[in-house]
Amino acid sequence: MKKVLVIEDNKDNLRLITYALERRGYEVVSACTGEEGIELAARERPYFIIMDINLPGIDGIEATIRIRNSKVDGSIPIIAMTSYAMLGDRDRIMKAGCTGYIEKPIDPLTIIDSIHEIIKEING
Amino acid sequence: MKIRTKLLAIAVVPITVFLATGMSLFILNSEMKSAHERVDLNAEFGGMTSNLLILTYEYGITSGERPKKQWESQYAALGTHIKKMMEKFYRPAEKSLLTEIGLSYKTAGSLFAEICGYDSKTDYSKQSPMALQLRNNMANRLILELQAVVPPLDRLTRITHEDQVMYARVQSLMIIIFMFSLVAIISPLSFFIVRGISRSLLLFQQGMKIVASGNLNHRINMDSGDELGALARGFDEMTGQLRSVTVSRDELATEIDERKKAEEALQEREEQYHMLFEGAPDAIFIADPETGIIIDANVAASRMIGRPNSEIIGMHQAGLHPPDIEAYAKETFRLHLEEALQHKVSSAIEHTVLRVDGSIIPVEILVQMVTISGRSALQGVFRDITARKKAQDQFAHEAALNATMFELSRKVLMAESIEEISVITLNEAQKITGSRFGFVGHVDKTTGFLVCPTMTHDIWDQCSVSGKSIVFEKHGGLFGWVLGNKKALMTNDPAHDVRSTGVPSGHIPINRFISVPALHGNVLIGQIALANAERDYNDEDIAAMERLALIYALGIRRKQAEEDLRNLNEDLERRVADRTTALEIKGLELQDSRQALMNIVDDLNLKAVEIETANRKLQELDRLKSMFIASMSHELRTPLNSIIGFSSILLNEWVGHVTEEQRENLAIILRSGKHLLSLINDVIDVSKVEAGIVESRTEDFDLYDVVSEAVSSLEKEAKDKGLDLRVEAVHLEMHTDRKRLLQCLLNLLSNAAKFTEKGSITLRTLSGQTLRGRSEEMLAIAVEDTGIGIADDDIPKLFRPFVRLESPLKMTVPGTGLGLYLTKKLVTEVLKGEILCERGSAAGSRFVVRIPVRI
Repeated sequence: MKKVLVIEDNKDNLRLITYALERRGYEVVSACTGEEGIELAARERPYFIIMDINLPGIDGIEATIRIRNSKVDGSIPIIAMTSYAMLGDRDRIMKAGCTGYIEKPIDPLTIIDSIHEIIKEING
Repeated sequence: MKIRTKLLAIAVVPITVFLATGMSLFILNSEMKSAHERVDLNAEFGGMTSNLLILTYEYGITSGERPKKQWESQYAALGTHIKKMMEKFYRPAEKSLLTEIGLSYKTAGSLFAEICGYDSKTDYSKQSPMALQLRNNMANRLILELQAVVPPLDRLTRITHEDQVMYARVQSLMIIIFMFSLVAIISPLSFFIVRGISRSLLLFQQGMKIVASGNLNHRINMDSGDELGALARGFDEMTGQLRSVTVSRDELATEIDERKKAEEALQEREEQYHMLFEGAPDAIFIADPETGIIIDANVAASRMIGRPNSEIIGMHQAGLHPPDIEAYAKETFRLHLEEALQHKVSSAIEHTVLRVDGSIIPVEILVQMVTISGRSALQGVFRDITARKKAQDQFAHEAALNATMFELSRKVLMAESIEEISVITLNEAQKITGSRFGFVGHVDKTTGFLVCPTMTHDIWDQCSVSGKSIVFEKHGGLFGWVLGNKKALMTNDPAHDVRSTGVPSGHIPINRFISVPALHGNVLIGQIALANAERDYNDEDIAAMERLALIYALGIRRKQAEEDLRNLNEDLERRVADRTTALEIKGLELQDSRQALMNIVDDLNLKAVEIETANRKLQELDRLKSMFIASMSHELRTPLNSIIGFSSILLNEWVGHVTEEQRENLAIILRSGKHLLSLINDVIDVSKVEAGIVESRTEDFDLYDVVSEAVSSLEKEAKDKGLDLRVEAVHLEMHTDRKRLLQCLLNLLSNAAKFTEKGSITLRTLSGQTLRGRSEEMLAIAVEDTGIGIADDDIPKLFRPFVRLESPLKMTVPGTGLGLYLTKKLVTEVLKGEILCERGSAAGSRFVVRIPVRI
């Protein structure tokens, strides 16, 4: 089973994403903070990472930058998840090293397909 | 110089010349001898050289001891010979030639020594032809060297020969000079001596002739020291003695003659004096110096005094003068006498003489001591200087008048007022004419009245005319005549003058009157009038007055001009002051206005500050509103996220089977959640658009895909309502905000679905359009339905916020009234296009969106 790391502080949202991922056969590893997420990313070597941007402590953008600067395989896709897309956010997210992004509210029926599409685009 | 000496001189000269010439010839001869010696030395020298040549030749062949010894002795002799020649030949050319020769012999000597040296080292017993040849060669060299001596020797010989020739020539010349000098010196000398003697003799003869003719003053004066001179001096002495005797006799005769002549002359002079005395134009009186009694007087004297000669003679001289100066006359006579005794002639003095008719004549007296008939007498020459005096007086008068005029001009120029000018003028006029009364007045320019400021000064107190005034409005009487005729008037008898009209009663009596008008050009300025002088007025007074009047007129004119100017200035100043006051008032008003304006500006500034503060508050509020909306969106959407997400999972039976009833309920939850989310999103979008912070994200996409996505989301609803959903879309590469375009299409489609109960909804795309006035390619998308439609009146209201049109469906169809407002905002501001609403082709309505294909 492929592992997916979900970094999300909202428990309800995490549960919803977990439903969606597990239904498609992924093993979900989750973290509530950016720091924890970075640690797990190094330890678990997930297939891909879903990163909430609005996090307590260091935010998703900062966490992404740190993961990209660590020894973790640079090819791991990081999918940013943001509840509000204000002007300039998209650029900041992509610049930090995210592979792509999805917007809240997430639809559990379609989210995995959207992620697959992003990864497929990257892998060509 | 004695004649003998002269003769001796003649003899000495030739002897001297002869001796000199002879000595010269002697020196010349010794020189010639020396030249001969040099020739001999030279010849000897040539011979010695020849000997050396022969000996060299001999030695060269034999190398014997004899020629060698002879060569050496000859060589030594040659050395001494050259030394001897050096003494004889002393010219530089000769010296250099001898040095040249000497050097050649030196070389020859060393060459011979070399030959000899060579020989001594050689064994002559075994004389080889080669050694012999060598020696011969050396000897030949020596011979050549000796032969080199010959040309200089020749030159030396030539020089000595030239000497001889020259000497001979000089000798001949000397002899010729000797002869000529002899002739040349002797001839003139003898000529001069003979001539001197004959001249002395001639002089002597002439002197004797003159003396013989009777001229005893003549002297021969011969300064010659010879015998002829002594003779002449003796003769002169004799003539002198003869003369002294003759002169004493002549002098006696001359003296007698001269005395006789003097007597005649004296008589003649006395006659001449008498004639002069009587004919003199000046009066001449002769007085006895002791008594002062007049002893004689000439015709002119009688004429001057007006008495016959007989009356004058016997008078005392003091009687000639006016009796009131008798003491002065006597004193003057005494002084005159003293002066005349001392200096013969006195200096001229001025005096006065009394005529018999009582009149007094000014005279100039010149006194002189004279001798008449052997007696000493005092002669007084009286010259009548009446004319001169008159001229002098006239001149003095003129000068005084000029000075007065000058003074007057000065005073008038400096005068402060017309009154002062008038007073000054009157004073001067009175002084000049000696008048008791007078007035000076000027004509007032405006009234024509005569104004007399001087009236108050003098006449005023003595005048008792009723209603007297210094201003005369009528110009009558004598002064009026002057003003009227602009002419001077003078009368010494005013009572009988026809121009007079008499004087008013109380007026001071007038016995003499003079007046002149003061004119400037031809304009009457005023008048000077004088009266009651102690003497009669005359023409001079008129002339003086006229000059005064001129100055007075100028002064008055000037004052009047000044006054005019002053009036003008005052007027100007007053006007300036008025104007200044007016300006000041205006200035004050202006200041008030300015103050008011400034108050307004202050108020405005205050208001501006208030507005600014308010504006800041508003901005702050706006920021707070934005913050509120942003946080609201997050806070509202997060729980909605869960509601929608989990109801969706349940509905899809991810976590277990749901019953039909549960499914229906879950669907309501999901639908309500989605609706709520869309409402929230609309509110957020509107606030973003209004705040101008809506995000525009352009990307490349195909129009067909966007249209399909929009239509697919509506398919279910349309199918549920039984509506026919028609799509006529094209594939078109676009570059614009895909998300916002999709949002707009969804809004329009969902609106169409909401208000259409049956019939169809049609979406058409039309590309390749251009908007009027714009070059970019445009796309038109039309959404048309067959619904309830929109009233024409309502169309302008459509795109306003929170507007919901009155319709039968209003209550059943949900909505915030933001949908079309947001759509229009997005189309115009994000997609840069336009949206409009039309009445549909059937019933219903049609919305058309026109946007650029690329932004």
